[in-house]
Amino acid sequence: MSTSKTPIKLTPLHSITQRLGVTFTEEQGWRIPEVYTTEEDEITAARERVVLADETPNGKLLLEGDHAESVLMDALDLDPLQVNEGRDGIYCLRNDLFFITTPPGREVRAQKKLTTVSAASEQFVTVTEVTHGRAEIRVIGPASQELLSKVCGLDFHPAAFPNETAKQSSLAKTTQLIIRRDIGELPAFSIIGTQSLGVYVWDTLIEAGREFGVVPIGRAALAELIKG
Amino acid sequence: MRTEHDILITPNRLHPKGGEVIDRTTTIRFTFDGVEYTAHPGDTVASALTAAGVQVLSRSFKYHRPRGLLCCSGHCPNCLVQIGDEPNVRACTRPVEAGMEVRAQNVWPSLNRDLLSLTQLGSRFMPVGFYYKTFIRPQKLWPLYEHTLRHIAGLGEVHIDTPLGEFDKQYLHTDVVVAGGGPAGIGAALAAAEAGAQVLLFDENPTLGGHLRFTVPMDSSSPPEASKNLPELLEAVNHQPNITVFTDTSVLGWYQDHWLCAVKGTRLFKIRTKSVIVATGAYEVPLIFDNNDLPGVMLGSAVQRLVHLFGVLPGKQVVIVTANEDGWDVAADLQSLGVNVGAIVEERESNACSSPYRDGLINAGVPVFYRHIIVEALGSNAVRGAKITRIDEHGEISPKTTQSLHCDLIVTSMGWTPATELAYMAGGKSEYNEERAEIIPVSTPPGIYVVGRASGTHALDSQIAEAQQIGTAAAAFVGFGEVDGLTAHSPDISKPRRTSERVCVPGNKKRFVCYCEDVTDEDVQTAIAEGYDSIELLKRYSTISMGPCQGAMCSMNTIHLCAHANSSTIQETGTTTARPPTTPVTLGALAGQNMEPVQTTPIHQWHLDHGADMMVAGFWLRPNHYGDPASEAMGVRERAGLIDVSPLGKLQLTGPGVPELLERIYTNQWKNLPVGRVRYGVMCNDEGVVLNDGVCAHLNDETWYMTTTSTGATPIFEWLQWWLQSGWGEGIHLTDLTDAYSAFNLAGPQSRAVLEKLTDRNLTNKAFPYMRVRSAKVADVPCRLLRIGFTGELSYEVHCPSAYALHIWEALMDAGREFGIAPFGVEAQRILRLEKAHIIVGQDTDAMSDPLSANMAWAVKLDKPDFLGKPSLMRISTEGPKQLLVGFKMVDSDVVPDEGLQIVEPDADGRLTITGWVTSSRFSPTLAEAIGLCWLPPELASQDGAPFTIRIDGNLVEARVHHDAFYDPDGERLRM
Repeated sequence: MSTSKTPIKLTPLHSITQRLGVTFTEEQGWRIPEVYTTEEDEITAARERVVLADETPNGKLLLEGDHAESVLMDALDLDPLQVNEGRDGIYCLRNDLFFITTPPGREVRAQKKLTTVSAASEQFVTVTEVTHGRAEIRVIGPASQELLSKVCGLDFHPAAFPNETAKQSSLAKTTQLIIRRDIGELPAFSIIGTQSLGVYVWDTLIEAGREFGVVPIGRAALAELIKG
Repeated sequence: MRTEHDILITPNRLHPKGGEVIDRTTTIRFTFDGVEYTAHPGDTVASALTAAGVQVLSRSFKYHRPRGLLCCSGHCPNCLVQIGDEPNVRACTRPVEAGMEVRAQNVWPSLNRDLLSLTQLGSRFMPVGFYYKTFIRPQKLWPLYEHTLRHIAGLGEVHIDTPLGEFDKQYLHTDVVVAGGGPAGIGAALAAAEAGAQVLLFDENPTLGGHLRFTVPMDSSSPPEASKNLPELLEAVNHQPNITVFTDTSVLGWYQDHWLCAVKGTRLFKIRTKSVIVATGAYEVPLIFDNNDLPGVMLGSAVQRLVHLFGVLPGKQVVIVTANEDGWDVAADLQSLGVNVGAIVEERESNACSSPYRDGLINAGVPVFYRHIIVEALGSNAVRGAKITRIDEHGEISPKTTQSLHCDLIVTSMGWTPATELAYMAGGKSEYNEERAEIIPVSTPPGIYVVGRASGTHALDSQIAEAQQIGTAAAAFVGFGEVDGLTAHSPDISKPRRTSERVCVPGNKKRFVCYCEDVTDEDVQTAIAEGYDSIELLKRYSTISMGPCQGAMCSMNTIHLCAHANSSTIQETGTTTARPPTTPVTLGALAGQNMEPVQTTPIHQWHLDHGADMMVAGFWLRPNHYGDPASEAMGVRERAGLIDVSPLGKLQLTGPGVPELLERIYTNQWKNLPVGRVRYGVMCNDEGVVLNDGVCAHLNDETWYMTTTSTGATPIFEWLQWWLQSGWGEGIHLTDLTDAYSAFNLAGPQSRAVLEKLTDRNLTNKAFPYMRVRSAKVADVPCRLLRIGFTGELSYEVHCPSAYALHIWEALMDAGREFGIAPFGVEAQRILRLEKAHIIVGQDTDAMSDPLSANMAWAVKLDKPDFLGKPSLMRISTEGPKQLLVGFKMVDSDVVPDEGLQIVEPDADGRLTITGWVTSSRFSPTLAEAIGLCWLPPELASQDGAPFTIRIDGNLVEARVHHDAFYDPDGERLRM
C-alpha cells in the first residue's frame, strides 16, 4: 500500500524559499533551492557581502557513550569518513557525545558503520540519526562575522573561533550549534539547531543582515563557491 | 559671503571659516514649535536655533524657568526637546534634518509664555524633598494629585500609538577598548594598536578629536601647532588596521570582567574586552550664582563648540568670568573672531594670571576685573547684563563694590571635573588633589587605565606623552609587548591650576546646583540641615545627579557645598557611587530587537493555506481551529480527523538501565511492559505534584520512546538529564527527538480504513490492538505508529521523520477524502478530550496538584519500591486529599462557565465561601450540553450527581458532579 507520490524530503525553510520563487533541484531525496536570482549574483553576494544557504539536507548523527571516541576511531580506521566538499565533520560536544555531519545521504552509511563497530566493541555506545530534527543554515561571506555578532555573543574572529571548530551557544535566544566552515578565504558558519526554530532563525538572520545586503543563495552558487 | 537675507534669518551665524562641520552650500528647513527655521547640513538643532537668535530652548523641570544652551556637549538638560514622537532629545547633539518637527516639551501653553512658571511663586512651599511630605492625605485624592503632577512636572511625551522603533544590538570582542576619542584617547589607541593589540575606539561625538576640534590650544603649556596635529592623528587612526572607530557612541557602563555596554543611536553594543583605557575627558564646571540658569549664561567650551564647529556666536557683547587660563583662551579666541569682549572677570589676582593673551587683550582695550566674581545674571528670559563684585582679602564678596556690566552673553570658565565614571565603576579609587582642586583617580584595577583630562592632565603635550605610555601599557597587559610596571597615572600637577575652589557665590535669588531637577544651593543647605548630610544621602533626598546629566554638571559642586556645610574636607566628603548608565539611554536600545523565538511544525504553511486560526502554545504556533471547532470535533466522532501533534515532546531512551529509570520517574509500573506495548504515565516531583504526563512505548529490548506534553518537552528533557547526571544515568542514553519526528493523530471510526490505504501493516484490532506501538511504512516512509486515544476514538498517532511530514500529512488527507476526513485543531481536541474527562497537565492541575487528588489514582502504584514523590503521595493517601478533580455537568445545559470561575457555597446568611474552581469547560457538541472539570472538596466530589454552585457574573448557577467520562465511559470506541 502506498501513495502515487514519491516521498520527498523538505527542509523547514521550504515554505520560505518557495515564496521567493526559487527554482528547486533534488539531491538524495531532498528538494532544495537551486537558484534564487542568478548564480552569478549569488556568488558575487557571497564574495562581497554575506549570504545564507539552506544546508539542512546534510546528514547529522549523534554518537553517545563513554567509549564513543574509541568506537569512532575504530570506525574511521575501517572506513574513514571522507572529507567531501567540506561538509564532513566530527565535533566533540562532550567527552561522551560526538556530533557527526556528512554530505546528504551519507549519514545512512555512516550510521550503519558506526552501529556495526559499536556492536562489535560490546561497549554501550548509541548512534542516533538526527538529520530530520535539525535545521542547518550556512552564513557565508566577509560580513558573516559582523552579522552573527548581532545575534550571538560569541567571538567570531578566526583567532577565537578557528576554522572547523564548533561551539554551542545562544543565538537569537535559541540554542544552536555553530560550526566554522570557511570556504577558501570566505568566512562561513553553519548554524545548526532544532528544525522547528529554523524559520525563526532564518528570518532573524535576514533581518539582522539587512544592513549588510544579505541574500539567500541556492545549491548551484554554493557548489561553485566550494569548487573555488 | 553671507547675504543680507542670511543675516536677517540667521543673525548669529558667523562668516565661514575653517574647521566647521556644516555644509553652507545647502540650506534645509525645519520647525521649532511651529515656526520655520533654516539650517545647514551638519548643524545640530540647537546650533541652527542659536544661529537664528533663539535663546530659550526649554523650561526647567520644577519651576518652568526658561533655559538655554549651557554645555552644548550633550551633558546638561537645558536643551531637551521633543522631535516627532521622540521625547527628551538633546538639541545640542541631534543633527537637524530637513522637515524635522521640533517642539518644546513640558510647557503650557507655550515655551515663551509658560504659565506653569507661576509655580515659582510658591517655591517657598516646595523646598527640596517636599514631594516626600505632601500630596499624601487625603489618600483618595492621590489620583488627582498624580494626574496634576504628571502634567506639571516631567519631561517629554511618549505616545501610546508611537510605532515601534527598530532597535538592535551587537556583540563586540577586542583586546583594548578606548573610551573617548580626544587627543589622549587617539594617542593611547594608536600606541596600543601599534603594539599589536586590537583596539575599539569609542567617542560620543560625530568625529574624533575631542576638544581639538573646537579649541585653539594657545596656553603656554601646549605647542601652538597642536591643533594642526589633529588631521595627522586622524590619518594615523585611519591607516591603523588594528583600530576600529565608533563615533556617536557613548560607553554607558563597565561591568565585571571588562564587560562594557555602549550605545549608538538605536544600537546597543555589548563589548568583551581585556583592557579599558578611560579617555573620557572632563566636564566643565558651572558656577553657582544668582540666576545662573538664565539663557545666555554658557560654559566657555560650549561657546567654542558653537563658534568653531557651527560658525554660530550666541551673543554680541560678552562678559567672561574665569579663574583659569582657559577663560583667557576663550576671550582671545572670540576677540580674534571680531567679537566684542566686554569684560573679563578674573577671580585671581593679576599676578596669578599667566595667560599669554593677557597683554594682548588688555592692549586691545578689554576691561579686566581682577579679584572679581559675578554675583548675578540680569534679565528675565535672556541675559541683559551681569552684576560683578570684588572679592576682599578674606575671599568674601564685597557687596558695596557691586557694579553692573551690559552684555547679552556670560561665559563662565571656572574649571573642570574629570569624567571618570567608567574607572570608578571598575573599582578605581580617587582622591581630592589640592594642587589641582580636582578629584582625580589615584589607582585602578588591573587592566583599567585613565588618561588625559580624565586623569587630571590638561596640557596637550602632557596628554599626548601620557597617552603613548598608557596605550603601550594596556597593550602589554593583554600580551603585546612589555613595559615597566605602570600602576597609576601621573597627574600633571606642575601645570597651573585650572579649577577654582569657589563654586558658589552668595546672593538672594535662585542659584541652581542641579539643572535637571531644579535644586538650588539653598535646597542643599536645607537637606543637610534636615540630616541628609552624607553625600550619598544628600543625593537620594535631593535627587541631585539623578537626572539626565547624571551628575556631569552638578556632582562636583554638590560635593563642595556638602563639605562646606559640614565643615569637612572634600576628601572626607567623598563622591557618590558611579553606576551605569553614564548617559541616558532609551529603553528601546536596552531591549534591542524583538527576538521572540517561535517554533513551527513542518506543515505550518499547510495550516495557513487551509485557513487555520493559529494560536500560541508555549513557543509553538499551532492551529487552534480551521473555522468551526465543533464541527471538527463531530467529524472525529463520526468519520475521521487529522491533527498535527508534532509539538509533542519525543524522547528516546536507550540502554539496559531504562526500565529502572522509568520506575523511578513515573508513578506506575514499567518493568513489566513488553516490547511493542505503550503505557500512559504520570511524572511527579519530590512533593508528589504532577509535573507532566504522556505515553511511553517499548520499541525493542533497550529502546524506549517517551512522549511528553508539548510545552513539557524541553523541561522534561532537562529534568531527566539532571537525574541521569545525578546518579541515575548508568546504562542510559537520552536523546531529544522532538524535532526529528513529526506526529499526526489520525482519529475517528474511519481512521483504520484511511491508514490501511497507505500501509502494508496489518491494522486489525487483533494484530495491532489498543495501546500498542508498531513500525510501518506509511506512504513509503518508515514511521512509528502508536495506537492511543486522547480523543476517545479509535486513533493512530503517526510519527514520521520530519522532512517527510508534508508528504505524510497530504497522503493521509488524500487517503481519507473518501471517508470525509478533515483536519482538526487544538480547540476540537480539547472538546474531545473533555468529553472523555482526560486532563491536561497545567490546565486542570497546578503547582499543588497530586495525581491521587487529580482522579488518577489508577496510575499510581504505591506498592512500588520507590519513585519520585512516593513519600508525599503515601502521606496524602493516608490523610486523604483536600480537594478532588471531578467532572461536572451544568443543570442549564446551555450555560458554559468560564474556566477559572469560583465554585461557592452560600451559608444561611447568604455569605459565600469559595469551595472550588472550574479548570475546564466546553459545550459538548456530541452530548449537546455544557460539561467541565473542577476541583471540589472530597465530600462533595465523591457524590455522583451532587449539586453545587458556580458564580458566573455574580449569579449563582447550579451544576452537578459527574463521575466517569462523559462520552464512552467504558472506552469501547478506543478498542474497536
